[in-house]
Amino acid sequence: MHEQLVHNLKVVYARLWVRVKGEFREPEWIAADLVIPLLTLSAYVYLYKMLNAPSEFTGFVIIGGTMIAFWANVLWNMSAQFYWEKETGTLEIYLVAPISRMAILLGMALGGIVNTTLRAVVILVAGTFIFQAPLVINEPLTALLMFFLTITALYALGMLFASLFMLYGREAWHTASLLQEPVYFLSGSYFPTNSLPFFVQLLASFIPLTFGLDGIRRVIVQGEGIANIWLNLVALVIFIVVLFPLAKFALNYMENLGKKEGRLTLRWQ
Amino acid sequence: MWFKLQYCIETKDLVRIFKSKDQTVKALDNVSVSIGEGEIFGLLGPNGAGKTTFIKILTTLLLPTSGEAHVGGFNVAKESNKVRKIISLVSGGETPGYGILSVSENLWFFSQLYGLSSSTAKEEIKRLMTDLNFEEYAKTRMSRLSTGYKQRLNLARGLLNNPKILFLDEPTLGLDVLTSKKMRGYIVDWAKKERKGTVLLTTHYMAEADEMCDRVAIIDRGRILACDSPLTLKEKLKENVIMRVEVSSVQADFSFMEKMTGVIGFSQTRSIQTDTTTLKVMVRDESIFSKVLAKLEEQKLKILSINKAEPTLEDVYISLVGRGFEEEAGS
Amino acid sequence: MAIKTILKTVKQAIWIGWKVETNWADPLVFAIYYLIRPLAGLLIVGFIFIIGSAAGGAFSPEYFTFMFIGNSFFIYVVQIMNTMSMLIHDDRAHYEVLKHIYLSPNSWSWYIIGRALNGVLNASISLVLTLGFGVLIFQGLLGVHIPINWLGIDFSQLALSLVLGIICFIAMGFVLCGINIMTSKVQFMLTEYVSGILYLFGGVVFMPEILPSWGQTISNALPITYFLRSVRFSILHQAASSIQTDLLYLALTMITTIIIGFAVFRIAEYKARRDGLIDKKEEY
Repeated sequence: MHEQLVHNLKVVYARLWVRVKGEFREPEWIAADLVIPLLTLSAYVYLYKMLNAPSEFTGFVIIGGTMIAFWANVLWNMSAQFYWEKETGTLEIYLVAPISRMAILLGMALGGIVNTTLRAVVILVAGTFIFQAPLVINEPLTALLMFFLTITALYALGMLFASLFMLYGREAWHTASLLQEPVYFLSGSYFPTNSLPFFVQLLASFIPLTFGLDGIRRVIVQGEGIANIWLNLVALVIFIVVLFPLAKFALNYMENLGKKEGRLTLRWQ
Repeated sequence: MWFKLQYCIETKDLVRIFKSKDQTVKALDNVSVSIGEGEIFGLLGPNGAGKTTFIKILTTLLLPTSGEAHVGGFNVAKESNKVRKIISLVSGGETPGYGILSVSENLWFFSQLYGLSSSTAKEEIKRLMTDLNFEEYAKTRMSRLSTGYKQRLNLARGLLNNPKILFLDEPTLGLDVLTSKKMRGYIVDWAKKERKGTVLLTTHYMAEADEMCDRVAIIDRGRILACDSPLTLKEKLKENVIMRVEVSSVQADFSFMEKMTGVIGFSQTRSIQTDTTTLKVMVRDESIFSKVLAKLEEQKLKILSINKAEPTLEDVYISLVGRGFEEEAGS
Repeated sequence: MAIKTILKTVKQAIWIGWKVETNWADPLVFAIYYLIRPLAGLLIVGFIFIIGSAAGGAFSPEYFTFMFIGNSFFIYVVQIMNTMSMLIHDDRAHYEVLKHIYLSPNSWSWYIIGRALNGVLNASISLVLTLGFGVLIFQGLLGVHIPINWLGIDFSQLALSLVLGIICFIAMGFVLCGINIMTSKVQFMLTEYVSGILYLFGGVVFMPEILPSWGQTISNALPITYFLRSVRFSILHQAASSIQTDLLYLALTMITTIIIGFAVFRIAEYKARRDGLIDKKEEY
């Protein structure tokens, strides 16, 4: 058991290493990631300013932009990874090796966290200094806990989606694309979700990002403490507890289904 | 735990069916094969015969529709992870890694998939690169390697974990004659002298199977037609007569031979550059061959040369199926 | 190159682009894809507007309509940029057919134009669906007044604006193609980034006048600014500036982007041949 754990940790590290190494081999993305993430956010900030909305809405946009960078990392670096490996012809090598599929996914996601974190930090810093976003961190540990639980829940969800990608080709790719703007909308990336109709809020409650964003905003923008956001923390813990085993089950199930139908390593489907 | 098994790889009535909206294909039809430890076993057949399907089942990438398969004593369907610990797969023509990483970086990465410590991995990588003669490319990005060196990288990757059973799926596909020969020699040395491991090799190159394998199974349309050592398979044909005839046309129709009594089978190789066709005809006795020659002359074909040929594995295939590999590719 | 051959190349490229985009098992999922993403984008901005207005004290239907039209027609930018940006990845790394297309006697540029036109077709489908559902949701369900007389649209004016604008975006797309030929690292981010610049400075969801002066200067140099002004005029029959001036500027920026796009693409093509990038595959 211990040996297997150590082995899988090596796999996580190795996949992370490949991702990071590859990113720094062609560093053109660094300049792009320092400036460009602010563009769409700036548009929304200016829109709020044009509408004479209070400055806390600027904070909403900045926090939303920071967190969706991590959601995009989960979606494209984790969920889509098996599809990506299949299309480049390396999936077979992974599937024949005696390793956990979740280890590969985790390694890839952690590898992508380097540029995601850079992007998030740039948004946060620029948002604070350029747009004067009113960020107040009364309880930094609460903010960190909220952030950590949100990322963990998102990673679990990403692994669940990865099971779909393992088997389905372009459908899964386009489904991942479908999970960008609709999730940004439902989770209230740029506005508070309590303004949405009830049934939409209900739908949004199935997305971990909704609770994470709401909690982080309340801590960082509205200066609330752990006593006010305990429900968000509980919701995220429930997501984590439910999604991880579900993801493991789904990965095994989809892999077996792929092996049964002969589609596991089939490209261009 | 590794213990002495009767057979290293064993399949029993293995069937694999692929269903789609338009058609149902039986890729494997009751394939039963037993391979002993330390054996180099070849699976020879034309494209679409079921070789890759067979190897995918044994390497846990595909489930059989029915039947059983055991590798190293473990059931491939139910004990996949145990199988993966003792095997490795090298597929010809496939991407062996990440283009943006160098050769040594790719090999280090794959060593980690098998849990090797970094120090062991470094030693193994150095040794394999030296053995396979491409150590000067250690720092070259994989995307810049030629096909031959990519395949060496692929083979090195497959040997990193020192597998007990090595699966090779068309390992010399797309390689030049010299590189193929070197690769074959290396694999035989690895199996027989160095590791004493078991090798299952799929190929449609008869010379490869003939040169490397202790035993060869000939597969066609999912069925094993014959299984024995190359020498024994060819010896069985000695009672027949195999003649090679070169005629001066690439357009003539030779299908009349299919209906001739006493003609076991034939293959044809057409050369547009020389406008000639080389026929290889297998007959029961020489008198039948003279009837074949007469028929060829009736078609006003000029006979350029005739000679008797020693039986090859393709002839074994022809005797079983009635046609050569080329016809199979066109049908 | 004969006109007939060019048209054939373009037609085949549109066809292959359509086949690649519509490679679905389920047509319903395909249909949803063409609606959901752009509609979600519109809903995000729409709700920012509604909530921001409520918090700021005043809701302006005219401003909302300004945003509604701008955001909807921005689909052309996103779709064309995305198609042309991802084209190199799709053909080179994914399907590995780029070198075969490049080696064919028909011009590669016409093939790319054909693929871009497929993007235009996809954008048009998305636009119609988004406008329809957008009106249904905002006006029908949420009671937001959108003062557009749909039957009073000047369609000839709109068509002219669309043609000039689309040519601009295709020319810009050639710049993205060129960049992606030379490096594969930014291919997935390029559309987002270029679209982001156009979104911020192009007067899509807010008037460029509220930008700082340097921002307004950038805005005045972008074809999207004049494209959206002329589209809004054809729909609403009102504008802050003269429509003739806007169309003239649109035409001038179109010519400029064609020159830039052509130049960047040719340089990239030369570099690709020089450095062996036509069939380079570096994914990790």
